[in-house]
Amino acid sequence: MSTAIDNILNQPYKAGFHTEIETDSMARGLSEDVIRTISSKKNEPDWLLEFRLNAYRHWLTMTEPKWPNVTYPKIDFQDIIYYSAPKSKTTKKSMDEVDPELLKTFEKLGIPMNERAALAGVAVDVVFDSVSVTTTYKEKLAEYGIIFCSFSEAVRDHPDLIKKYLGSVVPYTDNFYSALNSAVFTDGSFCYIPKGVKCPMDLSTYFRINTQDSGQFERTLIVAEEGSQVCYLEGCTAPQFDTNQLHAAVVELIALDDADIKYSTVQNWYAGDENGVGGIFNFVTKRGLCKGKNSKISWTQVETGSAVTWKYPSCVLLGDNSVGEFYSVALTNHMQQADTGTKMFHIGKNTRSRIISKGISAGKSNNSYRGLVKVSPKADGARNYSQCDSMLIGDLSCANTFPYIEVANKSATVEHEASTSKIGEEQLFYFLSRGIGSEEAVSMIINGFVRDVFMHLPMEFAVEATKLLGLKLEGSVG
Amino acid sequence: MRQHSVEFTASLLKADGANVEYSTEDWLKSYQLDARAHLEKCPLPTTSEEEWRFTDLTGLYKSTLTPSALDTPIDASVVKSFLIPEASSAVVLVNGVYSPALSTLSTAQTKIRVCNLASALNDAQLKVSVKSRLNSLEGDGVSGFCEMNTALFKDVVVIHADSNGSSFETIHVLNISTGKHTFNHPRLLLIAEEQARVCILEDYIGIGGFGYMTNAVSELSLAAESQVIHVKFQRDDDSAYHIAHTHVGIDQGASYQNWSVSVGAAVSRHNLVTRQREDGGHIAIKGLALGHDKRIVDMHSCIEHTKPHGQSIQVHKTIAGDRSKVVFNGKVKVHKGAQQTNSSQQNRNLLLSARASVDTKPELEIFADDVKCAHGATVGQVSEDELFYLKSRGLDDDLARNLLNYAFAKEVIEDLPIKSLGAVIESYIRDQTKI
Repeated sequence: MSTAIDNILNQPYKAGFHTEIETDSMARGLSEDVIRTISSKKNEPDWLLEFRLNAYRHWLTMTEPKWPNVTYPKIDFQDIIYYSAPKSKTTKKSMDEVDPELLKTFEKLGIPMNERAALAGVAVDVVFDSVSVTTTYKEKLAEYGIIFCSFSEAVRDHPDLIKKYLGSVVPYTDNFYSALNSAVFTDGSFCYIPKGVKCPMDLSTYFRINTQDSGQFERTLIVAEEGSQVCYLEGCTAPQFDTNQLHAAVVELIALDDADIKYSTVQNWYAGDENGVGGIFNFVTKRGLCKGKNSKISWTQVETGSAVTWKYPSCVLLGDNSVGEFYSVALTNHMQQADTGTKMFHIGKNTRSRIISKGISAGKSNNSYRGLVKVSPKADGARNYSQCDSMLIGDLSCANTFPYIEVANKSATVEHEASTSKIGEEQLFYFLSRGIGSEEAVSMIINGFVRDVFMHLPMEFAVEATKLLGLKLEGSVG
Repeated sequence: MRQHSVEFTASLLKADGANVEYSTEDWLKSYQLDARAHLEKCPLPTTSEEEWRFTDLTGLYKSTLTPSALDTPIDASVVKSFLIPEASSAVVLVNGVYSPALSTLSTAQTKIRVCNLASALNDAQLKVSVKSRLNSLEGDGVSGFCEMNTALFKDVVVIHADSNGSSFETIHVLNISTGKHTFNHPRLLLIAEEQARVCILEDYIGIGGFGYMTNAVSELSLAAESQVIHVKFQRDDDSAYHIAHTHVGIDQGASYQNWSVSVGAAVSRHNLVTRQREDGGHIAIKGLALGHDKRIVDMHSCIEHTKPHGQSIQVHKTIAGDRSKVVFNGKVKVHKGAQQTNSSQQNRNLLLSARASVDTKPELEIFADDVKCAHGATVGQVSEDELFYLKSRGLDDDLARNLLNYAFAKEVIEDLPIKSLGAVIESYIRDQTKI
């Protein structure tokens, strides 16, 4: 059994190539001057510079969080390149003007950027290192009144919306990395769905870190007006370097009355080699605010990459009858460490939340679920159901669960269940006796294990995620 | 906050510094001095520490406590009313000190020996056992309060259960606090030899006491194949602070059964740690905590499976009424190599009032792959269907609710081996869960 699983586990990282592209990078280090330079390079208005500087000054007073169940070398924040962008002439009107090297990179990654060939029908915003490279299907979306563009463009074209919502869900004072992101964020995606509009296609952002030693600090802001609906996908890759890179993103979602946002992530940053050399530090703050009545925010994540993950997509259920959902598969292998989970804040009446988390740990990895369900005194009739299952592959990995449940309302009902298991010899024997090879059997068992989460992924993503899981686990069982 | 803790720690050490009689035993003296030195560097915990986040002790730290008087007269008949008929021996401690006058020790030649520290150290054989087992606290669940106890305890109740016990003898250890704004540090050491059998009731009450702090530490050592039943019943005065640490070491194939029932004190905290020292071993823990009035009641348990083939099962139930706050933190840790561990944990919380709250965290930390571990936690209220059922049979709303609360709690103590105690606990349940 062991060789079969080992083979599955030890597949190389397929997105690990590096593209030689002329970049416009700033010197290493962080100071007020660096922030002013980033801001002026992007022709930002004064209020945004002010926001950045306030965040930076606040960041200086903060210390790195020590509570996650992960260990990593201390990050030298003065040794990071805070701005790196592919060199370009001016704003690009069409795909033809984009650097062909860059297009090739995305082709290798299988992203349907070329509009004519884009049968997938997904509108994509691509962020390369620090800057948004291109956004497809813009005109078509504009017909519906949907704004989908890079964050820089949004600051230029829709300053009122940005000013109103930026930092309204994740204020820069929130935590160490959100403060850092607020000070130095370089680009990201902005999406606005007007009242009553159902977004006709899935929106997607693709992030890639290319430059060695650069950090990526992007910001995503999605606003869904009354009665609107949107499905948003996010993917990430990075080339293989033997140094660690920092990724500290902030994602803010706002759902007004009856709005529905579905946010899916397949995270496949470079995880380092089997000895834990290199890889991305993924310290991300994601939070959605169900501001309106009957609104709904659903997070689905498939976490397979990164050397260290520290991420808790959360829902603040403020509006009455609002719904928060979190579906997660976190896979760790080799020396990877993940401390991930969710937070559900029940504030409005009759708010409901559901948490399904599946952790798979293989190799010498460390996989923790950390979650909080908090029911405030006014959240009458709040309801939560949480389930976190762990699967251990090999006796050198570990799996932990830290669910916090804090209830201050007597009409609330909160349930939490957790279990842990392994792929048993008997299970494998059962498959073998029916003529199914051990490798295939393992893959079937794992697919069954994560099914509850994968069925919430959009079609193309589910296919990609299943493939990814197979790749990641190749050779690990046994 | 930290400042209050620093001042409180210093004041306790200083207040008792004058009349501490360090043991003539060098090893014991060095434990006490080390604990004192450590406390001077690291004061008692505050809510800024993860393990104490939900248990706010600011009220305690702001109060001024003095050492308990050592010669408080107590009416023997009052004490008697608390004793249980099942016990063959009753050890009574007044403010942490053994009271020979109030205790009734069995004179029959049995396998169980109960004595205080001084007599234990006079017996050459027992002294060796005590020396190797006292102050064996380590790892998770140890806090500054343990060290405070080690630095300041006045006496130790030593229970020694000899090997090959034939039946369960019941020992009642009754801790009485009598002071107003005083502190005491009861200490218990139980040594169960191979195949020994013993049942102990660790009982805390206040007689005439008010606003006092009881800071108890109990150490239990279970040799191979021994069986220990341990009931901890906390019914301190409603104004008291009750802090308790229980550390249990379990050898091959031993069985440890625990009932922890908390129905008293203004703020209570129980840290229960069980640690497997050898292959196998069976642990069963049942807990019941009643949140009444403005009480904070906190149970932190940590079950450490360090060796293969361990089994543990835990059920913890709480009822939070009025403006109380109930806290549960149940950690199950399966160490590397502890294969074939089988562990299950259940935590059920019933919220009765709009102003009560429950904070619960069932934790699993697993470093071995061939294990079965599951935990579940729920927070909810009395089911409407069940209420309707009872009402349709003629019960009024209050009575129906009372009955359901009572039934919820009773499950925990149903199989309690000390029957007379079951009845006492039931009356507390009925009293404290009234709507």
